[in-house]
Amino acid sequence: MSPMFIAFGVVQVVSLVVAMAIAYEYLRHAKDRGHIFALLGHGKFTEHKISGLALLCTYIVCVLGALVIPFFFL
Amino acid sequence: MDISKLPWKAKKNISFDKDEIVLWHTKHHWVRYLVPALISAVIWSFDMSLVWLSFTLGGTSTFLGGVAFFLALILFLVVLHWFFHAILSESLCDMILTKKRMIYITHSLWVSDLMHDISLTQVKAVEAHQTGIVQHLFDYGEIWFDTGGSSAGEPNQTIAYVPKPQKWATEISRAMKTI
Repeated sequence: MSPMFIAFGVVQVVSLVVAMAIAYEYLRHAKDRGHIFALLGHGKFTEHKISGLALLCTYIVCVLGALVIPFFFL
Repeated sequence: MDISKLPWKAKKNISFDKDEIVLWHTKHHWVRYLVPALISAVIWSFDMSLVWLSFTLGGTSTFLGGVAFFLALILFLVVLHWFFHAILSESLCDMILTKKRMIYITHSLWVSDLMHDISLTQVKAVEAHQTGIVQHLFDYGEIWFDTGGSSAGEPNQTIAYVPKPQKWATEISRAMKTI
Protein backbone atom coordinates (compact mmCIF):
# COMPACT_ATOMS: atom_id res chain seq x y z
CA MET A 1 0.00 0.00 0.00
CA SER A 2 1.51 3.33 -1.06
CA PRO A 3 2.12 6.15 1.49
CA MET A 4 -0.13 8.44 -0.56
CA PHE A 5 -2.99 5.96 -0.25
CA ILE A 6 -2.50 5.80 3.55
CA ALA A 7 -2.37 9.62 3.80
CA PHE A 8 -5.63 9.86 1.87
CA GLY A 9 -7.17 7.27 4.16
CA VAL A 10 -6.13 9.13 7.31
CA VAL A 11 -7.53 12.43 6.01
CA GLN A 12 -10.80 10.74 5.11
CA VAL A 13 -11.15 9.10 8.53
CA VAL A 14 -10.56 12.48 10.24
CA SER A 15 -13.11 14.06 7.89
CA LEU A 16 -15.66 11.39 8.71
CA VAL A 17 -15.14 11.86 12.47
CA VAL A 18 -15.59 15.65 12.12
CA ALA A 19 -18.78 15.13 10.08
CA MET A 20 -20.17 12.72 12.67
CA ALA A 21 -19.36 15.16 15.49
CA ILE A 22 -21.11 18.03 13.71
CA ALA A 23 -24.12 15.86 12.80
CA TYR A 24 -24.41 14.57 16.38
CA GLU A 25 -24.31 18.07 17.86
CA TYR A 26 -26.82 19.32 15.31
CA LEU A 27 -29.27 16.49 16.01
CA ARG A 28 -28.90 17.00 19.76
CA HIS A 29 -29.82 20.67 19.49
CA ALA A 30 -32.59 19.99 16.97
CA LYS A 31 -34.10 17.49 19.40
CA ASP A 32 -33.95 20.08 22.20
CA ARG A 33 -35.62 22.61 19.92
CA GLY A 34 -38.34 20.09 19.18
CA HIS A 35 -38.97 19.81 22.92
CA ILE A 36 -39.14 23.56 23.43
CA PHE A 37 -41.62 23.95 20.58
CA ALA A 38 -43.66 21.06 21.91
CA LEU A 39 -43.76 22.74 25.32
CA LEU A 40 -44.97 25.93 23.73
CA GLY A 41 -47.57 24.11 21.65
CA HIS A 42 -46.08 25.26 18.36
CA GLY A 43 -47.42 23.08 15.56
CA LYS A 44 -45.34 24.46 12.69
CA PHE A 45 -42.07 22.93 13.74
CA THR A 46 -42.21 20.01 11.26
CA GLU A 47 -41.26 22.09 8.23
CA HIS A 48 -38.15 23.39 10.03
CA LYS A 49 -37.27 19.87 11.04
CA ILE A 50 -37.57 18.67 7.45
CA SER A 51 -35.44 21.50 6.03
CA GLY A 52 -32.82 20.92 8.73
CA LEU A 53 -32.70 17.20 8.05
CA ALA A 54 -32.45 17.85 4.30
CA LEU A 55 -29.46 20.10 4.99
CA LEU A 56 -27.88 17.44 7.18
CA CYS A 57 -28.44 14.74 4.53
CA THR A 58 -26.81 16.99 1.91
CA TYR A 59 -23.83 17.40 4.21
CA ILE A 60 -23.50 13.65 4.76
CA VAL A 61 -23.81 12.94 1.01
CA CYS A 62 -21.10 15.54 0.26
CA VAL A 63 -18.77 14.06 2.88
CA LEU A 64 -19.35 10.50 1.64
CA GLY A 65 -18.83 11.68 -1.95
CA ALA A 66 -15.56 13.33 -0.96
CA LEU A 67 -14.66 10.08 0.80
CA VAL A 68 -15.17 7.80 -2.18
CA ILE A 69 -14.47 9.85 -5.31
CA PRO A 70 -10.74 10.66 -4.70
CA PHE A 71 -9.87 6.97 -4.50
CA PHE A 72 -10.88 6.55 -8.17
CA PHE A 73 -8.08 8.94 -9.12
CA LEU A 74 -5.34 7.25 -7.06
CA MET B 1 -41.51 17.75 30.37
CA ASP B 2 -39.51 20.23 32.43
CA ILE B 3 -37.27 22.38 30.28
CA SER B 4 -34.60 22.46 32.98
CA LYS B 5 -33.96 18.77 32.23
CA LEU B 6 -32.86 19.58 28.69
CA PRO B 7 -29.10 19.52 28.14
CA TRP B 8 -28.83 23.23 27.42
CA LYS B 9 -26.06 24.95 29.24
CA ALA B 10 -27.57 28.43 29.33
CA LYS B 11 -31.20 27.53 29.90
CA LYS B 12 -31.34 25.77 33.23
CA ASN B 13 -33.46 28.37 34.96
CA ILE B 14 -36.14 28.74 32.32
CA SER B 15 -39.61 27.33 32.65
CA PHE B 16 -42.73 27.94 30.61
CA ASP B 17 -46.20 28.52 31.94
CA LYS B 18 -48.99 26.29 30.71
CA ASP B 19 -50.76 29.12 28.92
CA GLU B 20 -47.59 30.38 27.27
CA ILE B 21 -47.92 29.86 23.53
CA VAL B 22 -45.87 30.91 20.52
CA LEU B 23 -47.21 34.05 18.83
CA TRP B 24 -44.47 34.49 16.29
CA HIS B 25 -41.47 32.48 15.24
CA THR B 26 -38.73 33.18 12.72
CA LYS B 27 -35.10 32.58 11.93
CA HIS B 28 -32.35 34.92 10.82
CA HIS B 29 -32.73 36.47 7.40
CA TRP B 30 -31.25 34.39 4.55
CA VAL B 31 -28.58 37.08 4.05
CA ARG B 32 -26.75 35.37 6.93
CA TYR B 33 -26.17 32.36 4.67
CA LEU B 34 -24.63 34.47 1.91
CA VAL B 35 -21.21 35.10 3.47
CA PRO B 36 -20.26 31.42 4.04
CA ALA B 37 -21.71 30.53 0.62
CA LEU B 38 -19.67 33.19 -1.17
CA ILE B 39 -16.45 32.40 0.69
CA SER B 40 -16.89 28.68 0.00
CA ALA B 41 -17.61 29.31 -3.69
CA VAL B 42 -14.44 31.37 -4.07
CA ILE B 43 -12.23 28.81 -2.27
CA TRP B 44 -13.78 25.85 -4.12
CA SER B 45 -13.13 27.62 -7.44
CA PHE B 46 -9.48 27.90 -6.44
CA ASP B 47 -9.64 24.25 -5.35
CA MET B 48 -10.85 23.17 -8.79
CA SER B 49 -7.85 24.87 -10.38
CA LEU B 50 -5.64 22.94 -7.93
CA VAL B 51 -7.27 19.68 -9.07
CA TRP B 52 -6.68 20.67 -12.70
CA LEU B 53 -3.04 21.44 -11.80
CA SER B 54 -2.69 18.03 -10.16
CA PHE B 55 -3.88 16.28 -13.34
CA THR B 56 -1.53 18.41 -15.45
CA LEU B 57 1.41 17.68 -13.14
CA GLY B 58 0.41 14.01 -13.02
CA GLY B 59 1.38 13.71 -16.69
CA THR B 60 5.02 14.55 -15.93
CA SER B 61 5.46 13.63 -12.25
CA THR B 62 3.14 11.25 -10.46
CA PHE B 63 4.43 12.36 -7.06
CA LEU B 64 3.85 16.09 -7.65
CA GLY B 65 0.44 15.37 -9.14
CA GLY B 66 -0.44 13.28 -6.09
CA VAL B 67 0.72 16.01 -3.68
CA ALA B 68 -1.31 18.68 -5.50
CA PHE B 69 -4.38 16.41 -5.47
CA PHE B 70 -3.86 15.69 -1.77
CA LEU B 71 -3.68 19.42 -0.98
CA ALA B 72 -6.78 20.05 -3.10
CA LEU B 73 -8.65 17.34 -1.19
CA ILE B 74 -7.65 18.74 2.22
CA LEU B 75 -8.69 22.26 1.18
CA PHE B 76 -11.99 20.95 -0.16
CA LEU B 77 -12.76 19.03 3.03
CA VAL B 78 -11.81 21.89 5.36
CA VAL B 79 -14.07 24.31 3.49
CA LEU B 80 -16.85 21.68 3.24
CA HIS B 81 -16.89 21.15 7.01
CA TRP B 82 -16.60 24.87 7.75
CA PHE B 83 -19.43 25.70 5.33
CA PHE B 84 -21.86 23.11 6.68
CA HIS B 85 -20.89 23.92 10.26
CA ALA B 86 -21.80 27.56 9.60
CA ILE B 87 -25.02 26.71 7.76
CA LEU B 88 -26.22 24.08 10.25
CA SER B 89 -25.39 26.39 13.19
CA GLU B 90 -27.33 29.16 11.50
CA SER B 91 -30.31 26.91 10.88
CA LEU B 92 -30.55 26.31 14.63
CA CYS B 93 -30.93 30.02 15.44
CA ASP B 94 -34.47 30.90 16.40
CA MET B 95 -36.41 33.97 17.45
CA ILE B 96 -39.54 33.05 19.33
CA LEU B 97 -42.16 35.47 20.60
CA THR B 98 -44.51 34.01 23.21
CA LYS B 99 -47.30 35.71 25.13
CA LYS B 100 -44.87 36.56 27.91
CA ARG B 101 -41.36 36.78 26.51
CA MET B 102 -39.04 37.04 23.59
CA ILE B 103 -36.58 34.17 23.23
CA TYR B 104 -33.53 34.51 21.01
CA ILE B 105 -31.46 31.35 20.58
CA THR B 106 -28.14 31.24 18.73
CA HIS B 107 -25.78 28.34 18.23
CA SER B 108 -22.38 27.62 16.87
CA LEU B 109 -22.13 23.85 17.02
CA TRP B 110 -19.56 22.68 19.61
CA VAL B 111 -18.54 26.32 20.15
CA SER B 112 -21.32 28.35 21.71
CA ASP B 113 -24.89 27.88 22.88
CA LEU B 114 -26.64 31.10 23.81
CA MET B 115 -30.20 31.88 24.76
CA HIS B 116 -31.50 35.35 25.54
CA ASP B 117 -34.77 35.46 27.36
CA ILE B 118 -36.34 38.92 27.42
CA SER B 119 -39.46 39.17 29.53
CA LEU B 120 -42.06 41.43 27.92
CA THR B 121 -42.95 42.88 31.31
CA GLN B 122 -39.45 44.38 31.51
CA VAL B 123 -39.56 45.86 28.01
CA LYS B 124 -40.51 49.53 27.89
CA ALA B 125 -40.32 49.97 24.12
CA VAL B 126 -39.33 48.12 20.96
CA GLU B 127 -37.59 49.73 18.04
CA ALA B 128 -36.92 48.37 14.56
CA HIS B 129 -33.75 49.63 12.90
CA GLN B 130 -32.97 49.28 9.21
CA THR B 131 -29.84 50.99 8.00
CA GLY B 132 -28.27 50.92 4.56
CA ILE B 133 -29.45 50.03 1.08
CA VAL B 134 -28.92 46.27 1.50
CA GLN B 135 -31.10 46.06 4.62
CA HIS B 136 -33.90 48.01 2.93
CA LEU B 137 -33.58 46.04 -0.30
CA PHE B 138 -33.83 42.64 1.38
CA ASP B 139 -36.10 43.84 4.19
CA TYR B 140 -34.15 42.88 7.28
CA GLY B 141 -32.68 44.76 10.21
CA GLU B 142 -32.31 44.97 13.96
CA ILE B 143 -34.80 44.96 16.78
CA TRP B 144 -33.84 46.78 19.95
CA PHE B 145 -35.56 46.15 23.26
CA ASP B 146 -35.51 49.14 25.57
CA THR B 147 -35.58 47.70 29.09
CA GLY B 148 -34.81 51.06 30.73
CA GLY B 149 -31.27 52.37 30.88
CA SER B 150 -30.07 50.19 28.01
CA SER B 151 -28.70 51.41 24.71
CA ALA B 152 -29.13 50.05 21.18
CA GLY B 153 -25.51 48.89 21.11
CA GLU B 154 -25.93 46.33 23.89
CA PRO B 155 -25.72 42.81 22.47
CA ASN B 156 -28.26 41.23 24.84
CA GLN B 157 -30.90 43.84 24.04
CA THR B 158 -30.54 43.80 20.27
CA ILE B 159 -31.42 41.10 17.78
CA ALA B 160 -29.78 41.45 14.39
CA TYR B 161 -30.70 40.00 10.98
CA VAL B 162 -34.41 39.98 11.76
CA PRO B 163 -36.57 39.55 8.63
CA LYS B 164 -39.34 42.16 8.37
CA PRO B 165 -38.29 44.01 11.56
CA GLN B 166 -41.13 46.54 11.40
CA LYS B 167 -43.71 43.77 11.40
CA TRP B 168 -41.90 42.06 14.29
CA ALA B 169 -41.79 45.25 16.33
CA THR B 170 -45.54 45.66 15.79
CA GLU B 171 -46.21 42.07 16.89
CA ILE B 172 -44.06 42.49 20.00
CA SER B 173 -45.75 45.77 20.91
CA ARG B 174 -49.11 44.07 20.50
CA ALA B 175 -48.01 41.20 22.77
CA MET B 176 -46.77 43.72 25.38
CA LYS B 177 -50.19 45.35 25.51
CA THR B 178 -51.96 42.03 26.20
CA ILE B 179 -49.91 41.25 29.33
